[in-house]
Amino acid sequence: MKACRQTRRLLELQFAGELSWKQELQLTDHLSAGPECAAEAQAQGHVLETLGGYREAPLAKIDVERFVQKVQDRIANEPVGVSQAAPMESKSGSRSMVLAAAALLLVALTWAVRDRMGARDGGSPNQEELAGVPTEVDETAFQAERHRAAVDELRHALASLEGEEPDWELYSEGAQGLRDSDWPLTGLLSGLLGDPEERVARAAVLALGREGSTLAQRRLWSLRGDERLGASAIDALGAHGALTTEQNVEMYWDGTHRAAALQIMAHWHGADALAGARLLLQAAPDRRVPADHYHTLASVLGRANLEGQELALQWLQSPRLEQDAWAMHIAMHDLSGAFDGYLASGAGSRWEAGAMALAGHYPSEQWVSFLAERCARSRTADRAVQVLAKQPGLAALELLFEQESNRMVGEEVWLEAWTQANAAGGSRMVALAHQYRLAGTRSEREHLADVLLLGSQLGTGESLVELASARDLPERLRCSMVLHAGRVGDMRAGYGLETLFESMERKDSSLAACVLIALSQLHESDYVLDFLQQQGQVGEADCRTILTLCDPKSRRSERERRYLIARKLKPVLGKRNLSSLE
Amino acid sequence: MSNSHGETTYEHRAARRSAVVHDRSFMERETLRLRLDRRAQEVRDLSSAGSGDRAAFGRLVEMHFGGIYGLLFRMVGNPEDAEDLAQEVFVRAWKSLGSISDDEALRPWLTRIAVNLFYDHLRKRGRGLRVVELDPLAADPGGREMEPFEELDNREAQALLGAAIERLPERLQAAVILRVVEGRSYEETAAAMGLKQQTVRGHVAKGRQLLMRFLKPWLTNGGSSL
Repeated sequence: MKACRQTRRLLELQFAGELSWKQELQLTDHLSAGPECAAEAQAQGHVLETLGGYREAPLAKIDVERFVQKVQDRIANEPVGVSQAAPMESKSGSRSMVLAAAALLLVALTWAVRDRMGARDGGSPNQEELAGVPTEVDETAFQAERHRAAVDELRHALASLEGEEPDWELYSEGAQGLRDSDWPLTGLLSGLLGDPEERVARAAVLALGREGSTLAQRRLWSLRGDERLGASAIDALGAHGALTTEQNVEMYWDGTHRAAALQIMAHWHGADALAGARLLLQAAPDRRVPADHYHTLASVLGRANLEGQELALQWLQSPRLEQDAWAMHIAMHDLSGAFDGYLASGAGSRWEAGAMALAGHYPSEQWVSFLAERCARSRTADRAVQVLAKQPGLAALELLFEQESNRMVGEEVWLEAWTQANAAGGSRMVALAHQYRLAGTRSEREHLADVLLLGSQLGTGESLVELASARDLPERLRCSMVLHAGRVGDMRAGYGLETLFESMERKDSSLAACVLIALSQLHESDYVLDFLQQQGQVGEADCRTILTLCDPKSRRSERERRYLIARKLKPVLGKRNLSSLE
Repeated sequence: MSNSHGETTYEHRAARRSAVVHDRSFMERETLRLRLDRRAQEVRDLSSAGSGDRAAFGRLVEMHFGGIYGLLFRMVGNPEDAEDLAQEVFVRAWKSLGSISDDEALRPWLTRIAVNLFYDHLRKRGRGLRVVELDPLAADPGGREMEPFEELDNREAQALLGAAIERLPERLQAAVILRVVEGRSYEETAAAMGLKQQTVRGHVAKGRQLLMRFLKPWLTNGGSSL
């Protein structure tokens, strides 16, 4: 209530045009906290605005010359007067001495009460008044003139801050003169914030930002809602690091300068980030963070210290947030400290989904056991296999390989995951095959062939053909590898296929058919025709027939086409053997 | 004028600086010269007029006509009365001009005559006769829904405010118009009204209070509360 009485007093001063910049700050501060006073201030603002318009309203046009002439006409017969005690009463003409004495008494009485009642004298002032008024006016006028001169000087100095390249050196020279004369620069600059010329007001904002005093900062902060200068004021505060965490959070939630707030929040790290995130939560509208603002919190918390990261991980279980985006933000930062705690403490479907999202964005060998458990449950098997494909290390690849026989995992899902896992490179696959070899059930080459075959894609064709050349592998497996090499479209496999074909014997006709089918998938038909003719023992008609059978668009099945091609090739390969023997 | 790296050159900064300094000193000199010329002329005219020179008095009338007429127009609210009263101000000034020797005292003195004539005018005319094109205060605010003040157009708002000012007691009217509308200093306002500054401050505060009360039906609309 005391503050409200003080505000009322300040409003009175504002109405009378006497509000100093310091009092203006007090008024602004109180108005932001008290709605009733704010309403009164708003109402008074309307009245003052209209009064301002009242003052500036155009007067009716009066012909000054005509007016002066009228006055001249009226005084034409009047002699210029000398000091008279009461000219208004002088019209009554001569008075008796008694009346004069009474008038004198009346004047004396009037003098005694004039301060309370106001003088009614329409005539000339007496000598005391004439002596008194100018002295007071002089002193006031002197101070006013001095103030005007200082403001003018400051306006000149501020001119050097206008434009895109503020000349701070020139401004400082001008401002220093005022400082030397003990002018409160912050006060003068505050006064210029209301300058009708926007360029002057903007320059004053810049200069206030540079002042750095608490008063200057508070004055700039009070401008944040100002349509004309709000953005400049916030920029000036931000440029000098003068915005507190609380102010940033306030700007973020009230939305007036959210971009500026975000820009500053991007520099929060460690404990600052944690404190900022907590403030963001406390100041959230209705204490509930809108869903589309969680990414801001995630980003801030991700840069926080260990405590902040743990808090971030706990929030993954919140049903109100979009887990994938949240996890992505968290995973961008180092979680090594908080990670184990999260895995150990978690339970429930929300935690499980959160962990899965986190594993997708934060690949680590630590996830394998978690994912192995999820692969064994029908509800989570598909998602676990997809996430498993992103994990590094041999254990993850092995687990993924084993899921081929997991009937809870969809065939398409597994193939896609396997392809994705192998895209990282072949060394893991070789290592895996070697591991199987050590288990002792199948040859290393067989296992490697299986792995390569399952992961056949662009880049593995050459390896497939190389393995298919090994005669100790079962023919069925060699055929599969050659056909896969053609399907994955690895052009480097072409040379290997041709070499393989040239080394074949009569008994390899089935594999040779596969080689030709694969070659026809890698090259144009003319190239394959030329290759066949170069072999020497194949007639042109047979060559064309074989080429027709190689076409996968043929109505015959692949198995049938392979059989027919092999029949055509068998005599050719046999003759080649004989000629080589000769 | 930047170099190839986009930096402002020293010469450019120096040229800008000297241009600013030159402009500033030139403007200051000119302003001061005009002020002194005007002041010297006013002193000469006042001296001549005091000796009965009507032409010199005409120049003084011309010089002060705007301020006096504007004040009276804002006080009485119509141009005809304002012009008549302004004439009366200068005629009375002529009749007592011999006692004025200080040109600085002329303006406060003329203002004081104007204020006293305004009081007389109010007494002669009586209350509620001020000519305004819109007098919403005469209507019963309880009988109809009031339009919020901020939604009135400028002319309506000014008329409403003019009517509210007219309802103030005469001294409060004069204090509010001189201090708040005309923006004159307390010293000048107090001199014009023949009161102490502190009394004028009280009048302005009271005037504010009454104005806000009179305008309350319009200002409280839209959530404001007084």
